[in-house]
Amino acid sequence: MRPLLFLAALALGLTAAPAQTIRTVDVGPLRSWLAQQREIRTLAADFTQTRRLRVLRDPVVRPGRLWFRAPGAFRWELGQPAETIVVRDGGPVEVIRVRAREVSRFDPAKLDATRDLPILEFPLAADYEAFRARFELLDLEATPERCTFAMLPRDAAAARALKEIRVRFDRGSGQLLSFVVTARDGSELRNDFSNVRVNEPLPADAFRVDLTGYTVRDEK
Amino acid sequence: MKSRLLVALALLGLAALVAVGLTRIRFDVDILKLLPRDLPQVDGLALFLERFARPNELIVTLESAEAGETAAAAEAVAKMLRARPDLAARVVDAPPWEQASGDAAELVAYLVLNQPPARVDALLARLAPDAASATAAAAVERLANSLSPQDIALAGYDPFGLSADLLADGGAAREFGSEFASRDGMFRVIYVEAPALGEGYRGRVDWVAAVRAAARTAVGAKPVKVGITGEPAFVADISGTMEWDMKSSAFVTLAVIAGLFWVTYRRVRPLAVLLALLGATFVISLGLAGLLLSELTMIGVGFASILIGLSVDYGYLVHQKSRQGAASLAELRRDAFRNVAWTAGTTAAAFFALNLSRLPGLSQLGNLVGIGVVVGAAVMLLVFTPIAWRWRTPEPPPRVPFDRLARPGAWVTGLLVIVLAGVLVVKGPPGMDFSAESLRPRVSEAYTALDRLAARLGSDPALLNLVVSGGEEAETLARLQRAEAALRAAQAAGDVRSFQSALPLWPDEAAQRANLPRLAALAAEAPRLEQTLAEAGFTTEAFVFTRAVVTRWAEWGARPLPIWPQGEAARWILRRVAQTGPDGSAALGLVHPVPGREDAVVARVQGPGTWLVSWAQLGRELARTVPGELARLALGLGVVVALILFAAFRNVRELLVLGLTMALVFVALAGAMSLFGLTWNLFNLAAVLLLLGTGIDYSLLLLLALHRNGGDVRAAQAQVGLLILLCAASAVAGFGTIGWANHRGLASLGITCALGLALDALISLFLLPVLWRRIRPGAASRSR
Repeated sequence: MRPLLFLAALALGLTAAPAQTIRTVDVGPLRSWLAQQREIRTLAADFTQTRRLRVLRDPVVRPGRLWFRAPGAFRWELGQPAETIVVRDGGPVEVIRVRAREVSRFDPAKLDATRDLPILEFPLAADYEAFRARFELLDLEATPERCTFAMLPRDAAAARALKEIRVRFDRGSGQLLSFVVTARDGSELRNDFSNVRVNEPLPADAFRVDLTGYTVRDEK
Repeated sequence: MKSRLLVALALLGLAALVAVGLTRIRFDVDILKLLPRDLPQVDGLALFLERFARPNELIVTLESAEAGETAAAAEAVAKMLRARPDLAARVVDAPPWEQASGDAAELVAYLVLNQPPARVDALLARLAPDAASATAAAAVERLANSLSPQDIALAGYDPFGLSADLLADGGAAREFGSEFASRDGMFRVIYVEAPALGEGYRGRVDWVAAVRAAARTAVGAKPVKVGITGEPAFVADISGTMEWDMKSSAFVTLAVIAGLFWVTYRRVRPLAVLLALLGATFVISLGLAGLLLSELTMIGVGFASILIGLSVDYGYLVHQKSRQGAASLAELRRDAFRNVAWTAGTTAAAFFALNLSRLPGLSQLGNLVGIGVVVGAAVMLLVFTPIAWRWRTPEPPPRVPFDRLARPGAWVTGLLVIVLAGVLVVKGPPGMDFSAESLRPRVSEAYTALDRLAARLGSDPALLNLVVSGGEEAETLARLQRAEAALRAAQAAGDVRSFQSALPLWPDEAAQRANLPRLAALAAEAPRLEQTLAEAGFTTEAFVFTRAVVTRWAEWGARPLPIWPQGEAARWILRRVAQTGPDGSAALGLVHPVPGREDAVVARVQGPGTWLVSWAQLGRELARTVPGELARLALGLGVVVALILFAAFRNVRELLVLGLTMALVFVALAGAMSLFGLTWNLFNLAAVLLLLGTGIDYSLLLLLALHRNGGDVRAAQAQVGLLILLCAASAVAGFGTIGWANHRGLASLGITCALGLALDALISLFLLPVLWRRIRPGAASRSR
């Protein structure tokens, strides 16, 4: 029964913590960045993912690649060559485990951010009001060149599992520089982006993966 | 002297019986007591409520537009209740396993222990010296490459995958949501366990009110809505309104009767005596009924006003007869007896006939009113008749000029019937609603909060509850296994979308006996397993959970089987899904059927000690069984009434007059219901029976008067017209006042009967003579 659901929470060592309170900040840079995000039609980038987990002595570092096309098509690849691919082209979200030759197919409307996949969407929100509806802004620091803000999803389960998500971007170009997800147990998943190309043509097959020979499972 | 002594003794005996009966009466808020227990859905739901309804657990809900505000309010309410041991023995506002990870390890240890031995074989193979390193390496691989937060968490804290098979089983859990908070965090739930509560519903009402007040105080002026639900809240809500319904409807009916009597007769002393006798009739009837039944259902409380509204008819009749030239008290008694015996006989027969219905709620109402009608008739004949004779006054000129009213009355009533028949043709007959809606109270904060809770926590009303019961734990286990197999087959056949049974949680002694020695032996291998993880790159933290689980297995090695987990987390989960006790054991599960395939799933899974139940499924079952049964009952009663009337009149044409009159009444009633948007439900369908038994009295009175007056319609109308109007007005008041009852079914029964009786009186008084003239044109001359 339900005990089976709590295992994930248990394993994360989750405990309820008091919500952090944001000091009064100027959210202008965030508003501007969200407005810039609306102008993105396509995006391609490389990234380096660093996982610092409490249960592992050493961090795990993996390179990756990302493609996005508005509205709602994306592809994340982790590893070179890719070991895990998450792809969507308007339909279901497919999580492809290359070595195991397995595919899990999810209905995007039923995706559980704490269980299935973290937030992978671009843009994060259409505007600041939509952003506030989905996320609680915990902190924001800005210099003339860079801006870093911390947020927490309003989704109760996600908020219980996470301590914060910290996003850093370039104020001039609007380019995403990094985002860091910190779990309640202190584990951290960091993505640093490089070689970001905005509104450039993407390969025709960017959002298609040949699944011949793969076992496909539709997740409920 | 001797006879007076006997009467006094008899009265004392009656008073003693009534007193005993009255002390036995209790309010019973269980809506399933209103329904036939032989229906599988009712049986299964009753067991479900009996075992899993949590009679001492209150659910406090909090909701606002801001997740943070709701969380703060929930924290404040929980803190306040924890500080009040007089209000709460236990307060739970978050899953117990989040607060005590040791309890969670115990639960996982139990679930693995309870698995089929083949699965434990696979687990032990993963942990064997030659495979443990590969298992740990695979976990590292997942930690490096997986994008699923759940997968990363499990690979990190359960690297040997002790819980892997359990999660695979729990795939369907995704659909069944959280018990404590909505996904957006704007809605939160706190479970409050009662301290020791006294007997009776008053203690619960006070406790619920105190918890509500404390919660509202804790929330303060913040814009957070507080709701209270759970079994004690239902008991408090429904019991309170039942008492109010009974008192208020009886009081208003008495007031209406007093008003009618005063307007008609302007006599104080007979009115005072009549009201006192109606009160006595009610008390005696309730006392006598109390000897036969101890619990008054939500439908039963409607009897007070119905009984008063009907019993007063006999008082009117006696009073009217006393003014219409009876030569002596004996003649008055004879004349009154003839009339009262016929009308009370058919009325009581109709109400007692409700016993033939399989709805126990209606049967109880029928018995209460049937007993009351007989008591009322006896009280009026034995007590009121000599009083009315002593205080008789000559009949004044009629206040209602029936000689001038007959023709326009016939036209207006005829027009009304035509209009209502037209409505019936245009709008169609009233709809049928056999959902559980008619079982619910109209106003109940507990229901409102429960509806909100179900909506916000994602509970699907289409879900079916799998209820499995047995004597010993082994019997329930066997039934759970059979149900699981049937559900898998139903899933394969496309009838079931997903399901979760209590099978993984139910102790399987055979499996435990096979698994425990091997699992307990793992404790000795803990150092090797920890070392394997360290070599794969894990920190010591990664082994905490595994160590807690294997330690638990080692502890259990010395305990007798079957093993039940004892920790807070396990007890919290088991309280809702597994119950054992001296009177047997029961388990609960959830089934998500494919829409439209519910009946097929129920047919496939239901068996001895196994039910698939829901309120929606109950509605479907009732819709299949009850209307046909009530139709057969109405037909039977109709035949009985027809035979009684044939014995009385020995004339088919007069029977035809009565039959056509009743037909017009039913057509007009159906039209009126369509017009006002009323629907037939489980309870107001009984109005058909009651109109057959009670409504026919008015026709009967007029027909008897036509006989007495040699077929002179105006003379007959002048003689009994006022009486019929008075009786009908009182009965309409009696039924009409339960129209505001909180129980929807009872209220609909009251409104339907009030409408039907009003139409019946008009049609009997003004249209029956028209039919009588056409069908029996020679009757007047023969009667003369």
